[in-house]
Amino acid sequence: MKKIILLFLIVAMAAILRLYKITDNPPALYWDEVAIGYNAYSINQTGKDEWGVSWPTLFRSYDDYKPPVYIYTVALFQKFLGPTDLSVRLPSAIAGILTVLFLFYLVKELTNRYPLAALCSALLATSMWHIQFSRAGFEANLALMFVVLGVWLFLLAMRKNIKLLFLSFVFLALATITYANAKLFVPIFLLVLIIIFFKKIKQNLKSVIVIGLICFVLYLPFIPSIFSKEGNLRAASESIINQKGTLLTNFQQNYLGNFSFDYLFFHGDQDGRHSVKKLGELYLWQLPFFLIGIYQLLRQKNKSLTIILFSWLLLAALPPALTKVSPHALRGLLMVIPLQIITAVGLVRFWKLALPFALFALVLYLHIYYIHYPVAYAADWQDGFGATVNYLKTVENNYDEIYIHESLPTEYLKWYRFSKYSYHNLLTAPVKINPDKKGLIVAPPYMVSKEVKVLKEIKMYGGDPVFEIYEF
Amino acid sequence: MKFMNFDFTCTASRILLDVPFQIAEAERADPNGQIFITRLLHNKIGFYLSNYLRCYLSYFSFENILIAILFYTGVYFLFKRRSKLLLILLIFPLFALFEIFPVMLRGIILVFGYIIVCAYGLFNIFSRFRSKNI
Repeated sequence: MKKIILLFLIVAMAAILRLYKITDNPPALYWDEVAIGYNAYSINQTGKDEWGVSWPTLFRSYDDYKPPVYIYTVALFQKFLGPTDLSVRLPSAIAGILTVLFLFYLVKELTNRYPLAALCSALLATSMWHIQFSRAGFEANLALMFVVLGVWLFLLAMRKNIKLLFLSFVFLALATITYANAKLFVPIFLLVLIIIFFKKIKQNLKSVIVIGLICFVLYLPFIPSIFSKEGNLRAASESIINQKGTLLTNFQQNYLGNFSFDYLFFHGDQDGRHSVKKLGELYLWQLPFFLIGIYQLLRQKNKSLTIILFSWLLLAALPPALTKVSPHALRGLLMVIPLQIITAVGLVRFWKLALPFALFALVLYLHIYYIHYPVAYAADWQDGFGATVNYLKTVENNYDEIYIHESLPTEYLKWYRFSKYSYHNLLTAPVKINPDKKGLIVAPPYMVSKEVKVLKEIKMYGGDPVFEIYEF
Repeated sequence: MKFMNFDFTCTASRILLDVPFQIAEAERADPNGQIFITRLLHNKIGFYLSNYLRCYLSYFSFENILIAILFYTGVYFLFKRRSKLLLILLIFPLFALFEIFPVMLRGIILVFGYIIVCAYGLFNIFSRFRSKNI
C-alpha cells in the first residue's frame, strides 16, 4: 500500500511540474507547434491537411514533412478541447507524465528492485531535460513515451507471456513514425534486445515470427513515407554530410559532444527552446552519483542490465551525432532514460545524503524556469506573434485592407483563424492605390520610421517590442 | 585535428572575468525586481564553484573516440585497483586550470597526464587479453 502511495506521489509531482501554467510558460506557441495545431484542426474539419492531402502519412507543413502521429493525437485532443493552445501542448505533457509512470515499471522489470525503480521515476519527474520538452508540443517527447512503453512490454513479454510482444512491437513502430530520432534508434536497439533474449525467442520462434509478420503488415502503409525522398528531406538537409570539415572528425566531435560534461551538467543545449541554457541537461549534484553508477554497473554480475543500459545510451546519441547541430537535446532526448537509471543506480545507497542538494537544485531550476527563462528567451518562442493576430481580430472590421510583414508566418494567421489580410514584402512602404480605403500595416519595429504614429505596439514577455501596428 | 583540450580557454583568470557578467545576466532577466531572491539563488559562491568545476572537467572531455575510450578505460582500472596513480589523474589538470607554470610547461604536464592514464588503460586491456589467451 505504502509503495502505491509513493508511486502516486511521484506521478503527481511529475504532473504538477509539467502542467502548472503550461500555456503561459513557455510564453507562446513556437512555429512548429502552430503548424501542428493548424494541421490537426484542418484534419478535424475536413479530413485534409493544410495542403489539401487527405489523411496523409507525412504532413508537408513548412516543407519539412512532419511525421504524423503527434498531429493525429492533437487532432484527437481537439475533439474535446477545441483548437486551443492547450490542445497542442497537453498531449506532450501527458506523454511526459506517463513516461514517468512507465519508467517505474520498466526499471522494476529490469532490476526487480522497488527502491531503484521509484528513484528512477522520481529523477525523471524532476529532470530538467524531460520537463523542458514535456511542457511544449514536441513530438520527440511522445516518441520517448512509446519507446519506454515498448521496451517495458518487450521485457514483460520475455518473462510472462510472449503474446505481449505484439503490443511492444506496435508501440515501438509508433515511435518510429512519431519522431525521426526513433527511426534510427528503435531498429538497432530492438536487435540488441533480441540478441540478449535470443534463448527465450528461440523457444517461441513460431509465435514471434507470426507477431512480427502481423506488425510488418500493419506497418506497410508507413513504409513508403519512411523511405521516400520527402520523408528524409529534413534528415538530409540537417545531415552531417553537409557539415564543414572531414566526415570522421565531425562525427567523433558530434558524438562525444553529447557526453561532454559541459553539455550534460553545465550549459545544456544552446537553443533557447531546448533548455534554460544556464544549468545543463542534468543537475550538477547528479554527477558523482552518475560516475558511481557507471562504475557499479560495470562491476556487477548481471551483465544483461549493463548491456541494455549502455547500448541504449550509446545508440541514443547517434541521431544528434549524425546531424549538423550537435549536441542537440531534442534529437538526443532518448538519452535521458539511461542517464537517469545510471544515476539512480549510483544514488540508491546515498539518496538521503543527496536530498538537500537535490531540493536546492530543483528550487534553483524552477526559479530560473519561471522567472528568468520567459524573459530572456521569449524571442525563441515567437512570443507576440499570436498576440498580434488576436489584436488584429478585434480591429479588422474597421479597416478595408491589412498589410502584414512576412516575418509573421501565415500559419499564425491560420491557427488563430484570421482571414482578412494581404501579405506584403515591406521593403518599401506600400503604395496606396485606393485613397478612400482604410489600411493597416503590421511591421517589425526596425522597419517603422519614428515619425509614424503607432496605433499599437505588441510586446514580448520581457518587454521588447515584436510588431508595431499603424494606419496608412 | 584536435585531440584534446589545449586551448587554455578555461582558466582561473578567465573565470574571474566571466562571473560578474553571469551575475549581471541573471539580474537583467528579472523583470519584477525581486533582486534579493535572485541574488540569493544566483550567488557568487555558486557561480565560482560551478565555473571551477566546469573548467576542471573540461580537461576530461575529448574530441577523439579512440582517445576517449583509452582514457576512460584507464580511469576505470585506476579506480578498480585503487592505484596510487589516481593522484596524477586528479591533479594534472590543476596546473592548466590555475595557470601555475608557463604555458609551455602546462601543456607538457597535460600531455604527460593524458599519456599516463591512456597508457594505463592500454596496458590493462592488453594484459586482460593475454591472461584470457593463456
